[in-house]
Amino acid sequence: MSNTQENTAEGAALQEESLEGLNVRESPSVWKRLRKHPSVVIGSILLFFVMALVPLASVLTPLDPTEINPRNRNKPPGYEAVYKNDAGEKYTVEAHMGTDKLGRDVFTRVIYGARVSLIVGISVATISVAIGLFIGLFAGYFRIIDTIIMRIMDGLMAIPAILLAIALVALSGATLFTVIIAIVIPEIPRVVRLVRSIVLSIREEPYVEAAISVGTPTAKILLRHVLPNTIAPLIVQGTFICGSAILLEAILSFLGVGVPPEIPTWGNIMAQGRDLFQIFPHNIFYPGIFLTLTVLAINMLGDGLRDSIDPRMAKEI
Amino acid sequence: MWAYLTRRLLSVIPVLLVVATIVFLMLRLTPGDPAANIAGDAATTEDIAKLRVELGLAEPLPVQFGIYIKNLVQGDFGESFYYKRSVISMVADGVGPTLSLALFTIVIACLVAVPLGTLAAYKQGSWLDRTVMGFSVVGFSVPVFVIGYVLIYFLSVKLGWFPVQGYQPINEGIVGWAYRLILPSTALSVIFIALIARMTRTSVLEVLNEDYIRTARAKGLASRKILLKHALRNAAVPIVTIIGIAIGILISGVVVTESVFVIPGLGLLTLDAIQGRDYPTVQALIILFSVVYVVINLVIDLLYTLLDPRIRY
Amino acid sequence: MTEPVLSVSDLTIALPEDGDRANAVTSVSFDVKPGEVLCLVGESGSGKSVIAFSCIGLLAKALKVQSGSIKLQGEELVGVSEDRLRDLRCTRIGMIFQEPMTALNPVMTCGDQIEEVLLEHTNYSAAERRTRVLNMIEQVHLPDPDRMYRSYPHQLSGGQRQRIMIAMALILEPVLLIADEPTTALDVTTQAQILKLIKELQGEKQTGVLFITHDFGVVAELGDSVAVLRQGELVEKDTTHKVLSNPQHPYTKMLIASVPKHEPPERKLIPESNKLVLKTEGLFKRYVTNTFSLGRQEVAAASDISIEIRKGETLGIVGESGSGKSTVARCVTRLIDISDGKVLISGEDIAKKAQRDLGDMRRKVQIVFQDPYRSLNPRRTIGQSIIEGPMNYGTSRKEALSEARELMSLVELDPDGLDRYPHQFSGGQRQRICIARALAMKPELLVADEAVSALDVSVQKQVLALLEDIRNSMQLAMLFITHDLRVAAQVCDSVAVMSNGKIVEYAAAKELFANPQHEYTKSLFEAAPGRHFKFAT
Repeated sequence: MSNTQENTAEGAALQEESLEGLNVRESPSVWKRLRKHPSVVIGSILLFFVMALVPLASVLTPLDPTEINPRNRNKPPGYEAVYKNDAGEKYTVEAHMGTDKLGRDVFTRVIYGARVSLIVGISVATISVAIGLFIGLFAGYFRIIDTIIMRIMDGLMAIPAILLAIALVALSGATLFTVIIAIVIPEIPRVVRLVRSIVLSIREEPYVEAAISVGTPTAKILLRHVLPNTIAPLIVQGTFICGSAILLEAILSFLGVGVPPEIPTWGNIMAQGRDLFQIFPHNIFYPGIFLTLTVLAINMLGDGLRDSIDPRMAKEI
Repeated sequence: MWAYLTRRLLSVIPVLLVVATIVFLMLRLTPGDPAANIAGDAATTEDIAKLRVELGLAEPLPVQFGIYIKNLVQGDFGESFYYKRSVISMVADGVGPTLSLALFTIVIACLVAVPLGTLAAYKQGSWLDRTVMGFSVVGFSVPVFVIGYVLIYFLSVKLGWFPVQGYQPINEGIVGWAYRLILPSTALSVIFIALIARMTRTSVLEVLNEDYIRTARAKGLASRKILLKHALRNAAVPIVTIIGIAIGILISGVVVTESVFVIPGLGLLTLDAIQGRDYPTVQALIILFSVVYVVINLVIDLLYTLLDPRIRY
Repeated sequence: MTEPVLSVSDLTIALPEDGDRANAVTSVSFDVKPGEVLCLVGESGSGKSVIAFSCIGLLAKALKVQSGSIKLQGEELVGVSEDRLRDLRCTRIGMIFQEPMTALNPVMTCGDQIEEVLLEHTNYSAAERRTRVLNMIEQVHLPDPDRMYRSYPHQLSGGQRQRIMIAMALILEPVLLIADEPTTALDVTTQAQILKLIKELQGEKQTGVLFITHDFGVVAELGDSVAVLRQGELVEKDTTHKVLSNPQHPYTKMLIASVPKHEPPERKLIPESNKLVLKTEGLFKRYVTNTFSLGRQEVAAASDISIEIRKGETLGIVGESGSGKSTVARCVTRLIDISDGKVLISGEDIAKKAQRDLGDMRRKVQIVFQDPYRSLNPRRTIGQSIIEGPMNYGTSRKEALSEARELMSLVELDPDGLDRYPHQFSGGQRQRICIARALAMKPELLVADEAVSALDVSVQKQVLALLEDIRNSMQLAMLFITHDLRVAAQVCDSVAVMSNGKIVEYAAAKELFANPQHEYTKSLFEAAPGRHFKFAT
C-alpha cells in the first residue's frame, strides 16, 4: 500500500519533476531490436530461401514432380536419369537426390514439396489464431460463457493433437483442406488459453478500470485496450503454430493419412521411402533435412520475435 | 486435502464427458461408412444395411449417443468391428510396449534435461548456455521420425549396434527389453529434452532474480549452494508443470515412434483402427489417452502441494 | 575517537552506458561509527540503495565501482575477492531488505533459513544451532519460537517476516547492519514496532547501522545522523537534529518542507447549504468464497459504511492495508458490485443499477488510481486517453481536444504533450495526466485512491497542491483514500478512520487530529514516525 515503487536505482528514470519541459526517454524500437537479434536474422534468411523455392520451382528443375518413370526406379543420388521431351528427344537430368520407387525425381518432389508445407503452415497459423482470438476475447471478458468454453477447450486439450488430427483426416477424407482443418482444431484451445490469460490480466489493469469509469462501452474497451495487447503474443504464438503445423502435416503424410500420396509433400516422399529405407535412405533424409530446416527457421524466428517483442512472454509459451 | 481431492476428481468428469462427446460427434458426423468398409467391395446394399443394424449404426444419432454414454459409464467399450474381440483386451495387449516406451523416454528426458537446463541458467550467456539453447531450438524442429530413421540408419544399419526395429516384452528378459527400447526412446526424448531443458532454464533464471536469492547471497552462501538449495527447489513447480504438458506431446510422439520402430503398442493399434474405421476401438483409445492425460495432470496438481508449501488445498 | 565500522570515501559507481546519467553515485564519503545509526535519505533514483548494496558486495552486474573505497573496520572491500566477501556477510555485515514478502525463500521454514547462516559460518552442532536460532527468534520478540521455527514465510505477517529477516541478519552479531528501506512496505503500526526493535537490538550490541530510507519521519525516529543524497551526490551530512531542524542545502530544505505536517491547516468551513454529492447508507461489500471443505463463507471487506461529502468538501478515508478503504472507493465508483446499502450520487441511488444504466453516474464520478505507471494505456497517446471520456458522451473530437489542451495547462503540463505516450512522462507527470483525464468528464465527485502514495515526497507535495487548487476552483467533492495520516491532515476537511472493514472514527479533520477518540486512531497517531519531531519549515 505504500511506496513500493521505490526503485533500486539501476539506471531507473529520474523522478525529477520538471514542470516546464517533459523528460523524454525513448526505448529502442522493436524493429531495431528485431534486426539485431541473431535468431531473427538466421531464421529469416533460411525461411527466405525456403519460400523462394515456391516461385522458383520450375526454374530449378525441368521435371514434373508427379511424373512416374518406371525405368528410373530407386536410383541413388547423382544418377543421370534419361527423359523424353514432348518432341520425343531424349535428354538427361541428374537426379541430385535420387529417385523414389516409382521413378519420380526426389529433388523435384522436394522442391515442390515446399509449397504444401508453407500453405499448410501459414493457413493453419492464420486460421487458428483468428478463431482462437475471437473465442478467447469473449471467454476472457464474459464470465458466463467462460466456464462453458473453457470446459470444451479442456476437453479438446486432453485429446492428443496427432490422434485428433489423424482421426479427423482419416474420417473425412484426405484433401489439403481437411488436413488444414484437422490441424487447426487441436491448435485452437492453445490460442484461446493464451488470449484468455492476457485478457484476464489486462482487465485488472487500472487503465482499463479508468476506461470503464469514463463510460467506455465494453465492446470499445475490448477493441481499444485489450485487443492491442494480444497482438504481439499472438504473432509469436502464430509463428510457433506455423512451425508445428508443418511438422504435423508431415507426420500425417508420413503415416499415410495426409494429403493424397501423389501430391509432392515432404511427408509423402518419406512415406514413399519407408519400405526400402535401409537400402535407399535418400528418400527419407533429403526431405527430412528440408523439413527440419524449414521448421527450424520458423522456430528461430519465433524465438527471436518473442525475445524482442515481449521478453516477459518467454515463460508463457 | 481429501475434500480437494474429491473435488478435483469430480472436475475430471465434465472434461471426459466433453472428450467423449467430441469423439462421438467426430466419428459419426464425418463422411464414411464403417459398414461399407467392413463389408468389403463385393457387398450388396442389403448386406451393408444388415451390417449397419448389427453394428448398431442404424439407430438415430441421439439413441446411439445414449447407448454409447451408458456403456462408457459401465466401463464397456464394446467389441472391435474387425477382430471381434473386446476392445479392452486389445488395449491390454498394447499397454505394455507403449508404457515401456513412454516411461523410458520421460526418464531419459528428465535425467538429461533438468541438469542441462539448470547449468545453462547458472552459466547464462556462456557457450554452454548457447549450446543448450541452440540444441533446444533444433530439438523442437526435428520431427521424431527423422531422428528415428537417422538413428536406425547409422547405429543399426551401418554400425549394427542395435536391432533395426521391433520390441521384446519385459517378461522375456529385462536386458533385451531395455536394449530394444534405447533407440526409440532416444529418438522420442529429443523433443522433451528440448522442451524441459528450456523450461528449466527459464524458471531457474527467473528464480535467480527473486529477492530471496539476494537474501541468500547476503547470508554469504556460495553460488552453487544457492543454485541447488534455493533456486532449483523453487523452480520445481513450473518444471513439473511443463512435464505434465509434455505428456500430451508424448502420447502423440508415441504413435509416430511406434510406427517407425514397429512397436506393437497402442499407437499402432490406433493407426490401424482409425484407418479401418473401427469405431469402438478408436473411441476407446482416444478416451483412454485423454484419461491418461487428465489423470497425470491431476497427479501433478497434487504434487504441487509437496513442492510448494504455499499451495494447500 | 573510535574507529568507524564502515568508512566510505570518495565512492563513485558508474551506471551502464544507456543509463540516464553517467554515475549512479558520485564521490560519496561518510562514516558509520559503532552504535551509530546513519540514515541515508533520498528520493527514488538518488542512488541510496546502490550505496547500500555496494557495501555488502551485492551490486547488480551492470554497476561497477569506479573509484573510491569502502572500508569495513579498516578492511578494504572494493576489489576484494568474492570468497572474502562471502565470509564477511552475516558475520560482520548483516543486511535486511525492503520487501519482507519476497525476501524469504517460500519453500523453506523460517527456522531453517536462519539456521542456514550458522551452517555456513560456524561449526556448531545441530543442537546448538537449534538453541541459538530459537534464542534469536525470541530476541526479535516473536511469539512461540518453536512454532515460528517450523513456519513457512507465507504463514507469517509482513511484520513477523521482517523480524525473521532481522534475526537472520543479526544472529552472528555483525558489527554493521545495512537496512534497505526495511519498513517501507509495512503498515505504520508495524513499522513503528520494527523501528523500535532495530533500535533496541543495535543499542544492545552497539551495532553500526546504515539505514536507507526516503521518509524523514523515520529519520527523525531512528537516526543519529543523516546523509542526504541527490542524484548520486551527497548534498548534506550532519546529526539528525541539525539537519532536520536547520537544513543548510536548498535541496534538503525543499525536501523537509515537503514533508506533510501532522497538524491540519486552517480550512474554510463547508457550508451546510452545499449540495450533498455523495451519501452512502449502510454500504456493505461481501466476498463469498465457496470452498468444498469449509462450505460457503462470507467475508465483509466493507461493512456498514455511511459517509457524506458535500460540494467543495474533501473526505479522507484513512486505514492500513486490508482495512477496506479501497473497497469503499471501488464501490462508490461501481468498479465492483455492491452487496448491500445505498450509494447516493447527488441524490440518485446507484448501488443496484446495472452497469449499462450507469452512464449518467460515470459522468459525475471519476477516480484517480495509485499506480501512475499502470493507469494510462501505454499504447495510446495521452491525448487519446484524455478525450476518451468526453467522446463517449458525444463531444466532438475537435472540441474534446481543445478542452484537453486547457486541462493540460490546468495540471501544469505542456499542452503540446498530448500526442506523446505515457512512457515519456515521469510518475508525477502521469498522475497529473490522470487527474486531467478525470477532470475532462467535468465530474462532481473525484475519488483519489492512494493517488499520491507512489510519489516521492517533493512530487507528492506538488500533486497535493494541485488537487487542492482544483477542488477549490471547481468546487469538487473529493473522496481521498490514503494510508498516510500526514497526507490526510493536509487535504481533508473530515476524516473517516477504517479498520477491518468498518469505520471506527469519523469526524472533522481538525477535531480528529486534535483529539482522537477511538483506541485504534490513537494507536495510528502514536505509530506515525517523526510525530514528536519539530521539522524546520
